[in-house]
Amino acid sequence: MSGELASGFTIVAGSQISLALAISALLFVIGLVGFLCRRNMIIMFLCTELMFQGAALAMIAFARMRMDVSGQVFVIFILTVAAAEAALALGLVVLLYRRRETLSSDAWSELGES
Amino acid sequence: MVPTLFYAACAIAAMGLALILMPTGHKVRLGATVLGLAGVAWILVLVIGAIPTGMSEVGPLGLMVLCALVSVASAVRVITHHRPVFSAMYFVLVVISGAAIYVLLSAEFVAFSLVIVYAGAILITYLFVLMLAQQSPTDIGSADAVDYDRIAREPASAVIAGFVLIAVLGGSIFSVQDSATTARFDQERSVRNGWRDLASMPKLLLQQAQRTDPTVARVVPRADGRMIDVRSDSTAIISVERATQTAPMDMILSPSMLPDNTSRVGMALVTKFPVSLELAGVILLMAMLGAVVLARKQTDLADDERRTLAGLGTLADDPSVRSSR
Amino acid sequence: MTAAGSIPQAVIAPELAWVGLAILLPLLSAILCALCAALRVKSKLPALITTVALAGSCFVIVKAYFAYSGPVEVPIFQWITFEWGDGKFQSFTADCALYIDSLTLYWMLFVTGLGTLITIYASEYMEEDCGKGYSRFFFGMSIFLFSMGALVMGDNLVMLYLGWEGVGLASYLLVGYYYERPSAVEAAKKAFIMNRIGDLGLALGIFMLWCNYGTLQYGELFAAMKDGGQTSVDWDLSVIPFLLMIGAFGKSAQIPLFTWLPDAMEGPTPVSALIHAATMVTAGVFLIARMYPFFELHPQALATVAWVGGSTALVAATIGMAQYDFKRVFAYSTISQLGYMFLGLGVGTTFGACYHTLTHAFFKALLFLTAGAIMHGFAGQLDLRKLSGLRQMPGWRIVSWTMLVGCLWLSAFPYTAAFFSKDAILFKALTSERGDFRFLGWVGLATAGLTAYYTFRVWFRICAGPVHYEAGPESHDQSHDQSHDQSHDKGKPDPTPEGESHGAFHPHAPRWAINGVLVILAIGAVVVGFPAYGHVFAHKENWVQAMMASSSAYQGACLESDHGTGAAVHTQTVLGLDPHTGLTIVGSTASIGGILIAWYFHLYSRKSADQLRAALLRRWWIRWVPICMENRWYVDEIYLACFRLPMWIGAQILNFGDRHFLDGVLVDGLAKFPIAVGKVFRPLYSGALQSYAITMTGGVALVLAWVTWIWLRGFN
Repeated sequence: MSGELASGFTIVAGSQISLALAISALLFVIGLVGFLCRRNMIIMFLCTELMFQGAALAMIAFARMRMDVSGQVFVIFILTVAAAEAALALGLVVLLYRRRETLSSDAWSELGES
Repeated sequence: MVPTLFYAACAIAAMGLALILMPTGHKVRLGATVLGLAGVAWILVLVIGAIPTGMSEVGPLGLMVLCALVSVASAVRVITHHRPVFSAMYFVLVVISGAAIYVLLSAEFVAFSLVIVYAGAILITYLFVLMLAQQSPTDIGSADAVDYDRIAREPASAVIAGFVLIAVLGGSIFSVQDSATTARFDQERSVRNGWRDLASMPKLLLQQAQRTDPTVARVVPRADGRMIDVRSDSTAIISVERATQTAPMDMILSPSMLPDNTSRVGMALVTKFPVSLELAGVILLMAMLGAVVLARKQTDLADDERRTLAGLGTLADDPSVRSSR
Repeated sequence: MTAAGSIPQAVIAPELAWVGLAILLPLLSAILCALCAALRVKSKLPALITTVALAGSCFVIVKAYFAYSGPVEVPIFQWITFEWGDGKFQSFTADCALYIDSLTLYWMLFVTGLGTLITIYASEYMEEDCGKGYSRFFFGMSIFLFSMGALVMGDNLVMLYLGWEGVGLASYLLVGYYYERPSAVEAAKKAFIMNRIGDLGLALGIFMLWCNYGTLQYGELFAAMKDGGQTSVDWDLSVIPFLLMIGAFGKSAQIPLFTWLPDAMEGPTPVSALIHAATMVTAGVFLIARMYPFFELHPQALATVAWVGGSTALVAATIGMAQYDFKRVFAYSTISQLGYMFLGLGVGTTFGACYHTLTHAFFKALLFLTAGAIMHGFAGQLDLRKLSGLRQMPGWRIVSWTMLVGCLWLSAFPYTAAFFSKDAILFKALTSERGDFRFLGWVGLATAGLTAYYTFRVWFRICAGPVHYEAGPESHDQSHDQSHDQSHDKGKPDPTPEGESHGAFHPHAPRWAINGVLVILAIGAVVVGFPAYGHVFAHKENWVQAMMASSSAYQGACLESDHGTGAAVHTQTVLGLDPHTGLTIVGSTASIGGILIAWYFHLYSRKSADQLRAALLRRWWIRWVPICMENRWYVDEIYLACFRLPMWIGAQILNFGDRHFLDGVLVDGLAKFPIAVGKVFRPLYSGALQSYAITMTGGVALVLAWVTWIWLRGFN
């Protein structure tokens, strides 16, 4: 019977879904750790993209699990937002770089008390 | 049940990642890499082992494990590599292996748009910016990279915080007794979702009906008002009118007539999320405008110049300003 | 005691409201003086205002005396009225009203009269302070006279208490008049605080009286007393006299509470004369005389008064013998004479006590004013060893001779007024049925001898002998020199002989105001003897006795001390003689003997006084006597050790606890806790965005871990 099914309706093992979820969790956390640890502002933004990747993968996995395409639609929205964010944030980073001639996030600590 | 083994695996992976991030010697980095990979592998094994898997699925599962290892390893390289350009290139690898997993999870359209948008557009932007803003290493006097790229900030606490998140969230999977049953893939429901999506696409439905029987002229609603009646063996029944006859007749559609992923995504975009789609368009437009504004040459104007541009006289001529001083 | 009748029932007489002017005029004067101070008046206007007001007050009292026919209550206005029921003990009334009986008039006569005279004196005495403190001084005097009037004339104990506190306030203000001097401030504080102790007793006594009789109006109180008291509570009535007594002891400087009076001499001398010799300190005598019937609530109450009075008289006299500061000598003599008055009250002769009050008021005011004149003229010189022969210096004759009058009266020289008043007291004591009263009478006689000695020690030292003087501590004062120049401008001859000029210092003699007042007071001191002379020589009724007999103090105003008439009733004898004759002889002997001893040691052979002192100090068994006397029996030191030291230690402990526990641990500790917490978390607030992100992530992780833990626990 599986042969008659169109693509996307073949049986998938539950373990595949949980594996995808585990990967998404790892990607998210690695992105998070990178965001917290790296000092280069561009790399920090790259790490947010990594976290986006993790979230998108989780969406895809759940969409597959429920056989509902809404998850995939949301991934498309995530792509949209990521693109917009990349355009704007990188423009801002370039501006910041012009101000201080460095990409280090330590150069920007106006939130501190001194 | 407390998933002690999972926590241990998380701890090992965390230790590996933390050691890689810390400024250590070459040999330690190697050992840490091995340790981290072992931890990640253990996590994956535990996750896979939590749900019983038949022999027929070993193939796609193995493929996915391969993709998983590539993806995680290159993600770690993204955050550990000292040269930002290499990080960006490793991110491309993450995106590609992620796309492969998407394909394995039957999300072909998203997989390809991911590769196109991320690897093709966003990452290129990143590379441009990196090349625009990157200080050349020779300015700093270092052979390899600038300081802020080499030395991580508080790696230990960041890694601990992150992996506590993983341990807590992932551990809850193992804590549930009947995780296996709930996680089981419900094929019947997915087929029913597929047929329901087809019912909302009349043109495709007519095409599929005509592919089954070319004489079909129209697909009409059934007696209960619905277009498609799903049967338990994954087939579906529709009512069709042929040119030769007046009364509608039942017709069985085989599961191969189910709509493909791309058409379902497109349909969902325009039928279920039209407002979100419009908003996404607005966001992109605004991002474009913002990028244009940010990219313009920034010039500082003196007070008088600004007032002149605003159509006011110079400060010295304004009596109200002078009196207030 | 033979009852000279009971207290006459007071009649309500609203038409006599003009007597209230006697209180109102000083109050008005106080207000005007305050206005003068506010307007920075530089002239002698405040003195004029006060003198006129007090003279008016005196006039009102004299007029009231001649209009007097029996005790009256004069309502002026309703002051305090509370009612919380209809019963006897369910209302509280204290009207602003006057209770005028013969005791009131007697007291007010000499209070206002002396007040007027001393104000005139002060107008010259205080002239160096013209403008700066003049208004303040006369404001204090006016307030004092107003309070004294309220104390004496008030219709109820609440008004008495008002006046009681008012005179205390005036005393505080005037003792601390030279507030730049630390010693004056200390003395003012001491006087005020020691009076507080007495006032507490008085206030408690007043509370007890209300609790027991349900009223504080004199008329109702005496009527209720006659009925034997109707207590609302089950308290012992007999504690009332002892509480009132404490108040009287405090105000009149008796033994436990007497140390403030000598220190109060830090004030200007007119203040010492008026407040701390003549009037305010007799308020205690007045209180006991006014509340005399209540002192029989306990059999030992009057005996206590007698013992305290007698011992105060002796102790103060011994201290007075050994002081070199003549103003202090007079201060101790005041305490000693007040002791006599209390002795008289205690042994049961309000006549003697009140008569002695009157005579004492005149001669002691006179003595203080002469002392003030000397002090004024010699730039604050108070050491009797550094002044001599004033009698022979031009311009000082009136001072010397009026001082001699005061000294004779103080030493109860035979047939002076004070001789009779003191005699009345000692006679009553010596003829008492009680042995201890007779003993106190002999103590009083011995004290009379000591009094005569130390009084004439002062006079012989200062006024007699060769001319010699040294300037006092204020001789370099700029203001003094100015006033001295003023006296030159007015054409006064320089009183100092050329040969005895001591550098730049020239004593300046008193002018008409001081001299006139001294003469008037000397005459007054003679005049107050007339009631006794009339009684003794003309067998008329003693005026003072008559005044006492028709007042609340009637029980002590008995006629037993008649010289020459009532001798037969006495069972006691004095030295085997008839008490009258015997007392006259013994009293005269003590007085004249004291004067002769003083003459020998302080005029005839001045060196022998020092030799005697040295001789006493050389003998170990007697050396404590002069040492103790010179050091005032160490009473101040004992009080400091017994009361101030424990309080000081307690205060240090509380201060330590407050600083280190309340402040240090509780208050500062509470503040330090968040600071410490902040120090722990401050590194997180580095300003670097990623630090905040790490903190946020850690927080999320912790919360999730906690939730998961709860969730897992729910499963297991």
